[in-house]
Amino acid sequence: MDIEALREVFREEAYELLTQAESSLLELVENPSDSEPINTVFRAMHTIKGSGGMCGYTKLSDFTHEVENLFDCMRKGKIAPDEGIIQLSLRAKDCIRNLIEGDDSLEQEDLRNKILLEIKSITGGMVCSDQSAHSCEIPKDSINLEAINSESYKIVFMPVPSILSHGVKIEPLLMEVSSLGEATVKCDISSIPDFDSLDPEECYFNWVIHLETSRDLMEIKDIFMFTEDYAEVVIRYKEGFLLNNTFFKSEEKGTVIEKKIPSVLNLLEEKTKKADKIIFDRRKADTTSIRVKNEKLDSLVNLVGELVTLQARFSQEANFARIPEFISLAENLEKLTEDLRDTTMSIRMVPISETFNSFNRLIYDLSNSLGKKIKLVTYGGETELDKNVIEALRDPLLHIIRNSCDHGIESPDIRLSKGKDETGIIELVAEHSGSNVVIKISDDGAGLDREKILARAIERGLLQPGEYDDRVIYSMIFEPGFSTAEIVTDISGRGVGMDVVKKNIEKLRGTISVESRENRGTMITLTIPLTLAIIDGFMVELAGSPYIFNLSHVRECLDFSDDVERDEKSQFMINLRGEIVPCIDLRGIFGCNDKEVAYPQIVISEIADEKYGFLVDKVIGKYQTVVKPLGRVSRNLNMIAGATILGDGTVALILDAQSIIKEMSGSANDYMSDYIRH
Amino acid sequence: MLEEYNQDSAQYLSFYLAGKLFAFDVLKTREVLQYTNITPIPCTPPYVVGVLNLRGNVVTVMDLRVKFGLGDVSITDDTAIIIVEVNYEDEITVVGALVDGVKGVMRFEKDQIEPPPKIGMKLSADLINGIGKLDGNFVVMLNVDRVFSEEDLSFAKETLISHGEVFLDSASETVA
Repeated sequence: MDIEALREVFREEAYELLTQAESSLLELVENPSDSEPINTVFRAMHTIKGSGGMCGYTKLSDFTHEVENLFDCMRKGKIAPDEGIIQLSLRAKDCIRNLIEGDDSLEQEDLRNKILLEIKSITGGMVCSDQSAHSCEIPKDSINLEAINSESYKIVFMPVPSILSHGVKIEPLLMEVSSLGEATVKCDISSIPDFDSLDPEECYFNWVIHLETSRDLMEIKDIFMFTEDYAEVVIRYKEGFLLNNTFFKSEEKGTVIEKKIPSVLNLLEEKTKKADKIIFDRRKADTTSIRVKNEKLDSLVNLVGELVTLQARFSQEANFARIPEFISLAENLEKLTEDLRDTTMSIRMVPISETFNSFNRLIYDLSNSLGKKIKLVTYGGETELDKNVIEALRDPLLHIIRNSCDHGIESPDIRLSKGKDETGIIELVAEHSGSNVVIKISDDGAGLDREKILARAIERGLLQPGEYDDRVIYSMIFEPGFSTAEIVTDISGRGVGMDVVKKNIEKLRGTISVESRENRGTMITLTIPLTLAIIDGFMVELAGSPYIFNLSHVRECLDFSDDVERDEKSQFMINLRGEIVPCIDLRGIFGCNDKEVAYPQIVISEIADEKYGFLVDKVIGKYQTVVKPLGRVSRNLNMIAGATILGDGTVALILDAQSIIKEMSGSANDYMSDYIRH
Repeated sequence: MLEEYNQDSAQYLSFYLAGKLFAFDVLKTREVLQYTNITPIPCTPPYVVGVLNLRGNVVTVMDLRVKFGLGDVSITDDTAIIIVEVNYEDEITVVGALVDGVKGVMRFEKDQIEPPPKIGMKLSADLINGIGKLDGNFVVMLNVDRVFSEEDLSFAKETLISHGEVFLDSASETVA
């Protein structure tokens, strides 16, 4: 492995650790007395320092060392965490991130030096001993205490076989434990495999340590702190039954641990075989996830898409050939392909929680700079979406949340005067709904100002004066350059944003809508398809060519009776159970000049809560659609979202119903305004 | 090495359009297909025939006859689609060209090729790399990148306007 590859691995790991550290820091804000977050940050810093140094990032490891030191002091209770320290740590975390990204400008250097000074002023130059290096030196006076107040522990240390490859040195660990008091260390060699299957680079030993010490449990635990991912550590008092399972299980899980006691005790006594099993389990856990490059995944998805197409064609041919063996083969292949497709798709699915959690920091920073009290509450973080979709969602969500913080939530005194709680709440909710995921971003702030938006829309010529539905008015906020904010802040209010948000969401084939109540808050709802690669399609025929709608938009199909008048713009209305539904004749707008079919049909679709009808020649039905880009050509072709390849090898175009409606309503509006002007 | 070689002679894939011989630089072509099922794209200029499935990729096909104003000739057994690589804004796009028939690959020495005449051609001189002479016949060597230029690859605006009343309003809005 060359150094660059190593650094790549380090960077990925470090980003993860930093994210973890950040959320722990924010947890600390909520709950300053909790020691777990401090430990997490400390461990993260320690790992970054170590691995960073190994990869040759000296500046990084020096800087991180100071931060680690700060947290070590907090961990040992020498410094109490407060708001200032947390903010300082967050800034330090950003610096570390920048360093890893390779930003080593003078500005950054300054920033780092400033942070270092602050850290030093807090720690007062106090250096908490570096674990592995110094704590072997036992203060002399403690030896006397030991005799009076010593406790017996039995420590079982069961590393996973691959522990050595993770850079953990076992000998210093054992030395350190021994240095705490009177210790006998026994090595259990029962799990060494046969010579044939022995891998000299793996560690097959377990250790049992009997320790007499006056130090408390915490100190013993601390020694094993950095091995937690690679070893099972069981510590218990020799007398009595308190058994502390691997300390990294947090306090809340205490009940679970208690339940485990008998079984673990058993394990200890007959450790020969069963310890093996634990190791085996750990080893299994060790390999449950791997990192894969995105491109590899994308090409896998593409290949599966090809396979789905090919298989559809194969099934068609098989049915056509009417050879039983052939047909049953085709059916088996179909089942297999479906499973493969679902599995492949699920590989790309990641929970949205990571994105959600990353907004905690944003909210924290924003509430500080705006002088407001805001709390972020998330539900449904476990909802999974295609990785590409999640990435594309980040910026839109960021915009929306910024808007909510800036315009939605009022400052604390206004909130109090309105009889609301001083702390504003922004809620992020994700949930499944068919083949879509619905994401709701709501705040309990002031709500949108209906009158102001209307006035502004009229002023900008977007609406004619008159009475409008709430939805029409609120949807104005998605118009380019639309802002009613009197003060343009550096956070929002420039009027760019919401239209970009809408564009981005539409690019994902999603929809966006807004609801608002004065003084009750605003809710923005995003509906996003689960994946971009394969959709449930609905096939229709038009002038002999197949076209595909997104099935999630389709509500019902009707036979068309030709007794309504169609104007020259290929638009007309129908009466659907008493509801007026605007319809668009696709033949007309696509310029199909050949003979009309005798019995055209209407596909009723629902887009952003509005119903529209599309007149087509024939409805064919549901079709699993692998979306292919149309390439450069489609860039300016609004009404076509892409193409797909059908079972027989022909290409079908995927219709972008939303854009068709937009085009049509655009021309209708112009028509209307022409009419008014004349 | 290749550069040197190219300076002296080059290979061209020649084809017929309305009875006349044209050619693409063979290095710009990928393959030749028989005429197959092409799905039309609505709201596109008449010379855009549609899209076809090239082993799982969707490729746009243009009718060069219509584009060059050489009249409409019906599809025959000889009708072929030449898949070419178009370099546009440092990005390679694959496009299909519908032609009446493919003649074959020919080698032209440098002195067999003359620069395009300024007048006397239906086509703009921009689109032509040169005129090759072969047994007393002329072969028009087309510049692939220019023939399938920006105007073709993003024809939507033209489309909207050419399709008349329906989109006139919204199209003029986009222009404004």
